[in-house]
Amino acid sequence: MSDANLSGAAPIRKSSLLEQSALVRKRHRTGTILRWLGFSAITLVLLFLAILLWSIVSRGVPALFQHQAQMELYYDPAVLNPDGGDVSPEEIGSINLRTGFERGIFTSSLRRTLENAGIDIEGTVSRRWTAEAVSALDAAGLTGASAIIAAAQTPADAAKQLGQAGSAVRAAVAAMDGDDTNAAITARDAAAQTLNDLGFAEAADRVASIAPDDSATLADTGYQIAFTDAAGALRQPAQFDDAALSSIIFAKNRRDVRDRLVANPELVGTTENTGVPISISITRYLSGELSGVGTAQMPPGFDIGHLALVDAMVEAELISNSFRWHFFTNPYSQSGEIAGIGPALMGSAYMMLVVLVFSLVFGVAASIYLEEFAPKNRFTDFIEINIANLAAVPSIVFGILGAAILFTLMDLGFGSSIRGTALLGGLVLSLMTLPTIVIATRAALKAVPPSIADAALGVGASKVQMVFHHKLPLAAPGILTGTIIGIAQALGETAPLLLIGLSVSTGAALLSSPFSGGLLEQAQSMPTVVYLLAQNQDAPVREGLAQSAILVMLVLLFALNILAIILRRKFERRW
Amino acid sequence: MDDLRRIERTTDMNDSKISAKGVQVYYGDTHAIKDVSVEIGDKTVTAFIGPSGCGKSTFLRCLNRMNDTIDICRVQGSITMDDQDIYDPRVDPVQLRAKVGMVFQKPNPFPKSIYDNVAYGPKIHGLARNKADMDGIVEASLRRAALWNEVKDRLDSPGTGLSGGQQQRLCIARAVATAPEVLLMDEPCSALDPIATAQIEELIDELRQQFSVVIVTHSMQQAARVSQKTAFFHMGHLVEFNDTDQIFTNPQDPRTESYITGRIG
Repeated sequence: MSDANLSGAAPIRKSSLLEQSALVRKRHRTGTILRWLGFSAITLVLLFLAILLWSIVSRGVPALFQHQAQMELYYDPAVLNPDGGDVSPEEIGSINLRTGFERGIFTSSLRRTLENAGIDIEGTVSRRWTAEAVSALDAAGLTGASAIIAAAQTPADAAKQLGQAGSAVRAAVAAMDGDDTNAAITARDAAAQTLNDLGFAEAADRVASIAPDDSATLADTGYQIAFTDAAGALRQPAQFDDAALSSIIFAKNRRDVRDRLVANPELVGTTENTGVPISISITRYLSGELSGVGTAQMPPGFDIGHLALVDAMVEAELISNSFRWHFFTNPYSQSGEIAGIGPALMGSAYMMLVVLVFSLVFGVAASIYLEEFAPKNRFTDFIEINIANLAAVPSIVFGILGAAILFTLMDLGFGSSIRGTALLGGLVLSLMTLPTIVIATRAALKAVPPSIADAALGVGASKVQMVFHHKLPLAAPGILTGTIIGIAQALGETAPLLLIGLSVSTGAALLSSPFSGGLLEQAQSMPTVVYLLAQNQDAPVREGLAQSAILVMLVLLFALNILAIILRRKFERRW
Repeated sequence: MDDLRRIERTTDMNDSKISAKGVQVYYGDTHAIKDVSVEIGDKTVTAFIGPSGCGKSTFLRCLNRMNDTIDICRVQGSITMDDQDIYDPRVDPVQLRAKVGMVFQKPNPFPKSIYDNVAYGPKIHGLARNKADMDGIVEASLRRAALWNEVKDRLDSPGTGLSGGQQQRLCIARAVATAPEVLLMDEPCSALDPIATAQIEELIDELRQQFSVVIVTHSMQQAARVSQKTAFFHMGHLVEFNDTDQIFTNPQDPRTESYITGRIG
């Protein structure tokens, strides 16, 4: 060292401590750049996280609330017990759901509720349609239409007159299109006369002033279309019958109602105040999505008459927005009004149970063997590398493996019963979680200070005693953390479950206890239900309920992580 | 070194407890211990001194087969304890280590209570029939390690919460709890302050009444203070093995002299 100083060292330069040298400045600059890069990376990540959370919460939370019609549900004896006399459960059970319950109970109860609230159904609907007709005519410059419609004896009469006006205009256009000038003049004047007779003097003058060969100008006035539309709108209220009324509410839970009545026949003849889900299209209207949409763009089975009634119901406070409790108990359904994640939550819980048992037991056992007992040779190296690689295998590959085993079992004749069960799903997920747990456990075992192992061996503990008495308890927090991370991963895994049939399994009923065979029942799982909800035909389900389900999963994952932290804190030992 | 102690030494120089003959140790291709032969007497403190990397710790770990835990380590030659070859295939190292206790350089109590630390050895060897027995063993061991008075009121508190010197005495208590015949100490004071070191040295002197103690140390003063026999290791060779006062007052080998006078190492 002393020799080197003499020969090779740089010449000593005098420099002030108060000013930075170029090298030091450069070092500081690099440091500052790195600091800012790190800071902006974190900021960016936080920003994206915030956007993600906001988009999920802003859609998922409102979707957890559901619009309900507050109705007086009247269990009408005339429907439920048409013969009179005593009501027998069998009789109620045999009543047709659609005609008996949906029409007889739900629709007539809705009608009764509306009438009790002072809402005139026909009046409300026809007022809205009249307004629609007037606005159609107004848009074409046919002012004063409301007085003309009011002057007619019935809306139907008005529709007839407007229809005739439309026909006259159409005839005029057709005649003016032709070669016969005289006929064109005659038709034009006839149309003008019709308009004048109706009361549209201004429009009549306008039609009369059009040159007899100028059919395009007459067509451009839009009179013909306006008359046709207005006539159509005025005819609509007549079609607003019970079927139309019933599509405001969603009476799918009529089966539950029937089951309830079968169990409690004494309820027949009584009235219950209850909330019935509003149909999903009306929900869209209530959330402002359909405002300003014309009749043509309405969802099938709906028109502005429904909207008029819903407006009236909102005004009468017959529609409430309440928490969707059934979302947590109902099974998945195509219909967003009653879709839920109950069996999916249970299915996922069961699968996590299977994952916990299998991957923890096998994972920890494998890690202990590899870390402490296995001889270090090419074969164990090979196994080690493969376990590490297994962690990077795409999850769908595990799904393929599971499906292959399933189909082999089915070929052998006893596999179809396990298709889509929680046990099968759990086994596939265990396979996926195993490498995570093995890696975490081995890291935790490695992190135990060797002095502890020395101490144990030094007092004469055998290797097994050393591992199980000392190393494993000290590695437990790390193992626990790895396990919970692995389980959280498995909880969100979708692809392998789709492949082994969890998406198509009915899962209609809640599963029974895992210890009484529930593991072998058809199950649903959270991620596959999210997938199904996100594929739903109705936008409110795709964009609302799917996010709600994701929100529930996020809450679960958050809880799992908190649990991991608490357990780690609790079991952590310092040495 | 008063005369009284010197007399004591000679009277204690009785039969041999461990006898090593022609021991060679290899770590993979490295020849770590080269042809070492040592007689370790019963109820004697034997000190191994030498510069870092000279093989003294490696040799110490051969005496209770702790080197077995290192895969690439091979031991040749014969080491016998009470005329039984400890490397005989029939010997269970677990049983051997109950008879040959070990105290390590860094205090390494288990992250458990003081009581459990001491009770662990007797428990796995089945030395106590019941709780009262175990309480007795724990108390006796802690007394023997001169720790009882300091910890008797907090046996349930964690052993890792003690001071460094107390932790090391706890480790000694843990080692003596299995009723060993030999106690190996691998630089037991190197992580301790002078006061704790003095306590441990005093303890070693007392432990000599019952055990044969082998201590590896960097401190020549410590070797001179606590041991009756001293072995000087250098580059894997046993350079000199003799009575401690002989080594320090009249070394036979020039390398020993250089080392104890501070010219090498």
